[in-house]
Amino acid sequence: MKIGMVTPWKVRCGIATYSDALSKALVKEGAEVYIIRHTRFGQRTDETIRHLTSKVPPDIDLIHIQHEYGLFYSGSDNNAFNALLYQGMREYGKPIVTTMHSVGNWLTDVLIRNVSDEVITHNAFCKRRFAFDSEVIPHGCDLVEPMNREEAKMALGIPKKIPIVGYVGFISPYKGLEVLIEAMMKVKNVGVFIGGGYHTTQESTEYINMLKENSEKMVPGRIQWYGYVPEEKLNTVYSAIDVFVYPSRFATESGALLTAMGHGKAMIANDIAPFREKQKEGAIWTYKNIKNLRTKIRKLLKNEEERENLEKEAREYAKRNNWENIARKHIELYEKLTQ
Amino acid sequence: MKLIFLSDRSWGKSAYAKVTDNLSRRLMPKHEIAQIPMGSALRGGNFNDKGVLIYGSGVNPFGEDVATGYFHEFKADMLITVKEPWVFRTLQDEAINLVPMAIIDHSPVSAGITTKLHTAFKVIAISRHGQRELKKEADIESTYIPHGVDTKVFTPYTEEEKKKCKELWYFNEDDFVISMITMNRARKMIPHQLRAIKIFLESNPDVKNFYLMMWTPVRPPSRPDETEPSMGVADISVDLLPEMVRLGLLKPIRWPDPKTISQGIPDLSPTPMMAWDIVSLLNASDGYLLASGGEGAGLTYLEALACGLIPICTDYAAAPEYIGPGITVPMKDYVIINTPGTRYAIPDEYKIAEAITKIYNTDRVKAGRKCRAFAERFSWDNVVEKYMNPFLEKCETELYPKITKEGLTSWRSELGRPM
Repeated sequence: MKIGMVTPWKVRCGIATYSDALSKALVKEGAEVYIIRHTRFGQRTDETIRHLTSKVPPDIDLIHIQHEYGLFYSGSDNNAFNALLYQGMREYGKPIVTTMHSVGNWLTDVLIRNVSDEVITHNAFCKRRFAFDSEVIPHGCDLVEPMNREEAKMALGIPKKIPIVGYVGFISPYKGLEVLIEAMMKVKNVGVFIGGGYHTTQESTEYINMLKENSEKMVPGRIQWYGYVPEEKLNTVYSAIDVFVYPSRFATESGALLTAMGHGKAMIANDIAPFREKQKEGAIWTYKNIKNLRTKIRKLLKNEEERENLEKEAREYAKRNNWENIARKHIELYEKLTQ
Repeated sequence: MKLIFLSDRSWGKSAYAKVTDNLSRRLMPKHEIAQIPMGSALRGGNFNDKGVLIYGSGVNPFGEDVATGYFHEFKADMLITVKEPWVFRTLQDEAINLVPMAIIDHSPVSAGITTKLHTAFKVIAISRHGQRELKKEADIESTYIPHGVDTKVFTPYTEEEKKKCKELWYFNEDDFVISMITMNRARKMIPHQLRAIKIFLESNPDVKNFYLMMWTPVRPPSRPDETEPSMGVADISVDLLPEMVRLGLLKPIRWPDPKTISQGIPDLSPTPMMAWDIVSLLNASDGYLLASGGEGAGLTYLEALACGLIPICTDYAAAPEYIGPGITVPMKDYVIINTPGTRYAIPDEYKIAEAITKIYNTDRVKAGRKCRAFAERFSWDNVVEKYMNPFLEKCETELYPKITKEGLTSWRSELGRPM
């Protein structure tokens, strides 16, 4: 099976990371993946899309578009559905699968449904919100053997006995990190670790600067801003964190959250639909407000048994949804479309 | 691959023109090459220059108004810019595979440069200095691909031929000639180098036959709008004549008339040693001086080295790594003289004078062989084979990845043709 996958590639982007992991897993299941690389950043025009559709490998069996609203806006077709993209891809006469990494724009969603042979959504919330027929294939997880927690802390210059509450991921206003910082104000003798940055710049953004400034007042001397975490440091960073908080105000799914779960982290996430689904499976906790978050952080830090249980459940979830299983589901779907 | 260069016109005389021309010619056998010449160099339509498609220049001095359109029209894989990244205002915001050559002639590197590089597909550092600066100041990864020199064009002549060159440039056989080939810009610190000449002459009263041959316009343009939009930042040319008069250097310094400078001379004329060209100028010289405030690379150093000359540079930015067995002189201070507020070195005039003395007293034939050997490492053929080709192969795999159980390859290269 030869899959042509339209996606950003090797850039700081959640979808690029997703495609990388999925491609590797598909290959393990016997597929060959041909990346049709989409330029992730910058002002797009119709020509950008024509350029993209002109560079498709000739012998593929199927085209799989990793779609997110922001990825395909271009000149004349000023909506997230890009007619030029689908017209161009249709010309190759291959089945088209679209994975919706964002959902809920009715006009875009209906058009994508109509021009795709199959649409993939990540969870029940996305399926519901997409409002048209779609196949749920969850976002995959990598199960990673964590380092010794104390050694990981020492590697980051953190005293080994200090409990750490942390976040790793992109940092934008909708990620809600101020909630985490405010919650930590009254959780004394606990360190805060924040890893990540903005997509296109290694330098700080105004929002990050504001967060840093406020955090110095609210949790003085016990917060570490690590910046972008390189691949080779990810395990150290995740391993050092005792409780992972994911305060995103909006999400359809989260690669960062699932990566933390793959590292077996006790997770407390904002109470939004896609995360509630994971809570129902017992894999994470969710919180409703700052006070509630603070209470749950304290509870997990105080009660080792409870934390270990949540870590175990996170790991079980990751095992159920490991990339191999997810790739198999993709292959089944691809086979259905190409037979 | 399909590569499009955005640079000075490749048929021009500037350093960037030479870089673009040399790279284009050497990459052509395996790749499709196009070029967008900057600075309104081509106001007409497209034409084919010996296999390189040359696009019209557009209105914007740096070609930003046409670059994206031509990138898509050519179906280019990458747009390689050969210019200081800070000149661009919009290019980095376009959804194209931008590959800027990061030309960094100062330290610490200006945010005016680093902020233009974060969205690039790849960044080429033309010096180890630039590579270090990008990593240190902005955590930007880059690939080192140095500038090179055409060692078949720039060659040391025989003693007999050198005599002919001296004659061609109106020098006597036993004159001691130091040459300087550069633009007239404040950051070049030419007045400091003039003072060094004065110091050299005062400390070596026995040297009666010394000349500095300056291949530079010694006077600024008569109208400000004649100043080419070269840097995109204020870096003005200055009137050097008053200082030369004040220092009493009119006799030992020679320079060409402004018209010859503006027209330029070829690297090598069709009739070598019969007409002025850069190779004959270097072969008429005994040493090369450019102790400037900062260099992003060192094309003229390489050209001098390839002709067997010992170059002198300031120990700052990228120049030292381009001069090999040449002489570096320390900076005594720095100055901020352009709009982005970057630091430029002020060379120590006494050390420059010492360096010239050293060249005067050294076995220049023996030293010249070392210089030539160093330059050969930077021959364009070597640069393309050792640095550019592996880089392009890596880019090919990243632009068209095919992932199979056997590993990562490029599906496009398996087709055997660009698309």
